Amino acid sequence: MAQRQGSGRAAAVKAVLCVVALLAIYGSLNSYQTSVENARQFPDAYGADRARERFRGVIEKIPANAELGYFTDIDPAQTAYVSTFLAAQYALAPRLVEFLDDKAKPEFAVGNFSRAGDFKGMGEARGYELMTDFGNGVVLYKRHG
Amino acid sequence: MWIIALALALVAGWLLARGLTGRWDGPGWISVLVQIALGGLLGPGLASVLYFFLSLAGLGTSRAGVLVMLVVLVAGGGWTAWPRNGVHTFDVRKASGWGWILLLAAVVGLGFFLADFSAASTGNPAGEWDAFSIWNVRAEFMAGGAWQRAASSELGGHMAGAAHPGYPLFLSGFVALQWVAGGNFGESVVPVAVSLVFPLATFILLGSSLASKRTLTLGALAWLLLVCSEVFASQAASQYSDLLEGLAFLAALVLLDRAAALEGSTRVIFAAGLAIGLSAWVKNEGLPFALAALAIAGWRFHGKAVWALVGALPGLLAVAVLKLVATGHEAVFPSTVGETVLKLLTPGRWWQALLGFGKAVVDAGDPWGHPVLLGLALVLMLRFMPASERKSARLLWVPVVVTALAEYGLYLVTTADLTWHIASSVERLLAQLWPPLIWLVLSSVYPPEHYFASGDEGELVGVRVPSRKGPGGLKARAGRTTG
Repeated sequence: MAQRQGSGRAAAVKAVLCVVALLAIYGSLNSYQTSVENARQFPDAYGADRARERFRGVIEKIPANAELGYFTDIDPAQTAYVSTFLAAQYALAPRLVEFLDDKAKPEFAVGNFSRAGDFKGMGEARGYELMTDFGNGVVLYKRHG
Repeated sequence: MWIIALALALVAGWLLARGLTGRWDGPGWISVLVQIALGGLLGPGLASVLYFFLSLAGLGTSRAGVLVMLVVLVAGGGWTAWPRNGVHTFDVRKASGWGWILLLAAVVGLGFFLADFSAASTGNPAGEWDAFSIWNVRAEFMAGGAWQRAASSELGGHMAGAAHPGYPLFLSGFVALQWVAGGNFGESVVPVAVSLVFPLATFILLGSSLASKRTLTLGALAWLLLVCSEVFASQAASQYSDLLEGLAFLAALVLLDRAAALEGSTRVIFAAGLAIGLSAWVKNEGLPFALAALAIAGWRFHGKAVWALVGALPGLLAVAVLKLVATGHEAVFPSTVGETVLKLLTPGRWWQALLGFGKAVVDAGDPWGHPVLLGLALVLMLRFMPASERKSARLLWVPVVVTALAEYGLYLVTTADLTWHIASSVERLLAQLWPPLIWLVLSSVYPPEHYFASGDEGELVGVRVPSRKGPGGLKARAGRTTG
């Protein structure tokens, strides 16, 4: 009787092991499919890779240990305001990128723009003259004086 | 060249793990797997610590300096692994047929994990948000000779959530040293490769340590629970530090348990200390874990626990120096006691943080292959062993619980918007604790073989034998015991 109970338990354990193995594989397959779909729908989701291409010209002109001012035409209320800044910092490191304000006025500054506009005027308004417009929304400025 | 730097760090780690921990119970291949997996933490960790101090000395951009440092690390590992006298356990454990079947299933699951990683990394080679805004950008500062900027609140435009001065630099340093060694500054291939190493080491350590401690079947089951954990798999390609933190936690627990099994082997206690110290060098969450784990070591090993403290020194020293040189205030911590108390006295925060953890557990996997449900089914079927047989493992819950409470406590006092803070981090915190939790639960249940009829079960044949040739020169003596 005890032996029968034992063999029943063993069969139940084996059944659970099979179910766990199959469902675990299913779970990992599901995770894989989710990743494939995410990668298809949102490649370079935050523009970090694109930023490397866009800021390449700045890297060639500015020394690696420099500090760079930063301004943009993106509304600070938008998520893109933060993500584009961080992507720019990632692309430009080890140069330190900082938002231009009354305290921070480094010798050079970059403009990161989402649409065409008066880039020269935007720089002048902050005390910077336009050095290079790279034609992809990235503009390099130098502080007046 | 970067891949040589990666390989040197891993080899150094493997040699160190082999030398310090000796041969593990079970077949030789399981022992090698445990050592390789531990090496996946120890080698990169020590390389990162050394690279940090190299950077402080102004040599962080020197390719020759980095390569010499790695060669010295390999030599140190080799010296440690040099055969010497010692006493080690050596069991020959024959796996049951079920062990092999489940291992095959686990390998299939691992295949999907690798495909998952490949798809995610191809789509987002720069990783997820924190990768390019925290971990990899700090690596760029270090590799570019501006390590001070990696520890400054100026990074991230002073924005809360982006500027974390004093965040530990294990991952960033390890990526940076490979960029320096390879001369391929900023190339995504390095962080992608590194972010694959740590989850793989976690898989191997989880499965092989349980296979060594208990049976191959339990090791394979642990592996299966991890592959179906979306909370773990989805983090792998993110290039974050959380899975690395999980590896460090797991390694510390496995080594503390092993040291207890060897009745306080000072070399294994030292190795546990290394893992404990490195856990604090990965993320701030590692600090409460490290303190709790060192306290456990003191409680369990008394005077010998000093070796855990000595082992923890590299990681803890690096953290202490970093905190000293870091400039600026961590934005998410309250700046006054009054502010802290006010937040703690808001009951809604306690409930909201609890719900956040609960939701993360629910979201940890697909409903049909949910790791918690599968784990529960296993526990119900296999049953916990009597408390007397789980005595030493019970103590190992303490660092994990302390860490979970610390993470929970941060939510209670964070100055960031709580909804945002929970939503942007709770899954990652859970991912840190996930592998140790699986290990703790499955090391406490009976192995399936316990229920199988004689002949279907694995045999446990082993005795404790003194070694005259060290870890590599052991010979087994057959002697049947109960499985």
